[in-house]
Amino acid sequence: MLKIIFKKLIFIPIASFIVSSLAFLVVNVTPGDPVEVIAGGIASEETKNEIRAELGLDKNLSERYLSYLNDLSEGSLGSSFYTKVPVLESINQYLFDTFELIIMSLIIALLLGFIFGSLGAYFRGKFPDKISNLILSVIQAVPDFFLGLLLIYFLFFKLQLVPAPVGRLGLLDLPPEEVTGGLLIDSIIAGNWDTFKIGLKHAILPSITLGIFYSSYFGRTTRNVLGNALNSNQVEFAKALGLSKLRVFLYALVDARTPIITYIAILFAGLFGASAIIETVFAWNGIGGWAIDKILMLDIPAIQGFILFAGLITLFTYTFLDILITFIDPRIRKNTL
Amino acid sequence: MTVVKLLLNKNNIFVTFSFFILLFFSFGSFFISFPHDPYVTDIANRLLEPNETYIFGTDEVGFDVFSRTIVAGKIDLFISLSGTIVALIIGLPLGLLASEKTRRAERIMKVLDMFQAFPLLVLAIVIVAMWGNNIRNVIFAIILINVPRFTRLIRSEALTVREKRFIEVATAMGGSNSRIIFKHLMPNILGTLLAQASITTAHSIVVVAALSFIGIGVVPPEASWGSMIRAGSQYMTTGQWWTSLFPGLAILVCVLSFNTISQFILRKYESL
Amino acid sequence: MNPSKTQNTIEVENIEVVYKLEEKKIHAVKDASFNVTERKMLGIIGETGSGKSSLIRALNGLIKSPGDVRFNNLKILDEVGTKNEFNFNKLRGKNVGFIPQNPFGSLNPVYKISKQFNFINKRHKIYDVKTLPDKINEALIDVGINDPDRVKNSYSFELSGGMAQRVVIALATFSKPRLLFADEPTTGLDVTVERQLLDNFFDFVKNKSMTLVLVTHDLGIVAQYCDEALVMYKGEIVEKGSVNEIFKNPRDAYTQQLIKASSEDIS
Repeated sequence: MLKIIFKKLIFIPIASFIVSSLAFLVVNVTPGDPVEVIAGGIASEETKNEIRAELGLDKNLSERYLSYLNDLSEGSLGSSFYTKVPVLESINQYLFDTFELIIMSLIIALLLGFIFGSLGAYFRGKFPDKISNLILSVIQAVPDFFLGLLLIYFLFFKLQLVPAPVGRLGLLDLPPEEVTGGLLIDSIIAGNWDTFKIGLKHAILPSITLGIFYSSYFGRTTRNVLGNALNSNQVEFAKALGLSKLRVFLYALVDARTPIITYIAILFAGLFGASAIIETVFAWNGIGGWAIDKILMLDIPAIQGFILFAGLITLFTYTFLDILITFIDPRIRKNTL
Repeated sequence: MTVVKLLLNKNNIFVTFSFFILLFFSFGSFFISFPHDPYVTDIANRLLEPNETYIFGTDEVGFDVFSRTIVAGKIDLFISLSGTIVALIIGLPLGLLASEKTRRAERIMKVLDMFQAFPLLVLAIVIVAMWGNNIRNVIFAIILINVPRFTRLIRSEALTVREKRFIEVATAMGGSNSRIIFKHLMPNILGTLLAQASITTAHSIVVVAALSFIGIGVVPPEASWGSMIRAGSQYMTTGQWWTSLFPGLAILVCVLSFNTISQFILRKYESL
Repeated sequence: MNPSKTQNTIEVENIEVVYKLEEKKIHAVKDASFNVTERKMLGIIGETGSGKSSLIRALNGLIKSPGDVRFNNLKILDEVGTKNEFNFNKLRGKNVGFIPQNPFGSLNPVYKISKQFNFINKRHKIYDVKTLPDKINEALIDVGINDPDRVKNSYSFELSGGMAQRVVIALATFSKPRLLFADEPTTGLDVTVERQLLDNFFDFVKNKSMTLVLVTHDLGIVAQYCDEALVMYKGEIVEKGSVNEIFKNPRDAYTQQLIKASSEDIS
């Protein structure tokens, strides 16, 4: 089995190389001239040339590619054109904030989705299934940022249950000492329970926005996969053997666990991209919000660094998923010995 | 004409409803004479709650939300639909090619896999931001996001068809490979394709809205649901709900319509 | 358990199975009623689509049906779909066993065989935990598996078709049920394997004094091993009686055709 894992791990460097090249391509093969936009309409030719040189855009494509690879090999993802801050540093600063948001949203999405999905699967075709399906369809049809705004209106403005969406903390609150960059984790490390609670309260709206929205996808998948499993021959035999309802349900669950775990991984990778917009709505100060700011400013080196980073995260998530499945499914384990 | 009969069937009332909603948003702006011009601002009347003159109220610069919501529909639906259709057209031959047992096919799939390693929404944002804020680029981004999906779909269907015996027979009788596949594939796959196209369009509407929400793509003074939601977003905290709500509802209703239509197609297709 | 020497019958009354597909209703089984004599073997013959698989699942309570099965004055099926299904659940598997087609579809590929025996044992509280491993070995040997230890520790996908089906039989009969339902237990297996398995299976059933209701499309099996039979066609029972009667003097036209066709096969 170690051989299989090894083979999958070998794939990573190659894939990473391809991913980095793609990141380069996307950003550098553009029609039109980004310098125009960066410099603004009134800039002189001289200023534009300076900008061009600084961005390295005066060199041809292959030269740029080589210098890009060169930077990468030194562990550098470039620096922001505007702030000169190295991309890696910015990522480091904001990564854990996004990470906390994703984890909280994922937990909500999985819980809600699993409940809806199981209801739908168990009562397939009957009333609970139809209601659950309807609810999930409506949730999916609402754009997530719109959902966030609606929640702000109802929960903040009307019901005053949550604090204003001004960021991770209130305007006058102080963040804890930075260890990882993640507010909640750092608060726990610093023992600062007040800040932790405030941070948690501010986290409610964005995480339930993402959580509710993505529960619809997870719920759909759960319903289909679990529903199929519950109708399978195995479950029929289990029922015929007189096993308890709980045991029968577990049978179906075990059968369904591979596609479900796969989907959880897909959700995780997907949330990484999707959280960006929500971060702007709630002023979350995570990596997605940072990336969008950079993109809007056409901060080319930063954009490039971010895309590469995002691609690598997805790559690692899927590889990890692959290895995990190999471990838990005896069919795959034994067949590829 | 059977389509018309199907739609008039009272069981299919939701589908008929959906069609009308979509038709309304697509073409309504050509036929309705708006009480207020959707492109004219009126600062004196800004942020008015919905009333008799302004059915949906006004936004922060005095735009009439009602007329703009409808006009935005024309643009957003056009972008989503055309992007989806072109992606389908491109994905069809790609998918067929990818279903062969050739090196080229493998390479196509590898590229697709790598491509889908990136969060596609972020890619779309980058592309539109860097290439410029206009409708053409947004359509292009939509095409780019959706080509992999259609390619995969066509490829998997083609693979299934290839396995079937009658393909062997047809080949033995001397037909060219891909042409056979195509001829046999199309009638079988039509239903699935249409349904997928419908769902993809629904998804694209949300993507287009997301783009204009963060300020790229279709930007004011051009009307677009996403940018309207953006304009109203800061007022949600102060209670002026109408600026963002109506465009958001428009999106919701159109997406649900496309989803309903797609499910309808699948049901009818299965019973064939 | 039954003190008297007279043969008891299991009465099946008015079983009906209807499937709803979109807007259409399919009557898979139309009003089936018959008797099964205890400790005898009844074969239900029919082609695909005759409704035999639906019938046997309705008898076992896996599919809902308005009719009933009376077993020792217990109306078994009454409980299906009600809150008393819990009680019937205990009956199922304990007193009533079911052997489905396609062992690989029925066995859970993620648990070892021994674990699946454990589940049954825990549920029906059959044996003491200490004696369990030996009892599992006994059960496997009884169905003709000569290396029970190896099989016990395997996963279902590591076994051959015949082996897997034997395991299924062992699992289904582990709690020593008195009534056994089998749905085409040998379809899909090689002919030689099938022969062996059937010989072994019917001996096993006789030895344990079980009552068997077997569904099959193979007339030969019924002719050779069963005592009583019924023939199904398009959801209806067209013939019932002892095997001898039916094969010598079939009353129904369809039955006659079947017998003619298969005897041409054999000869």
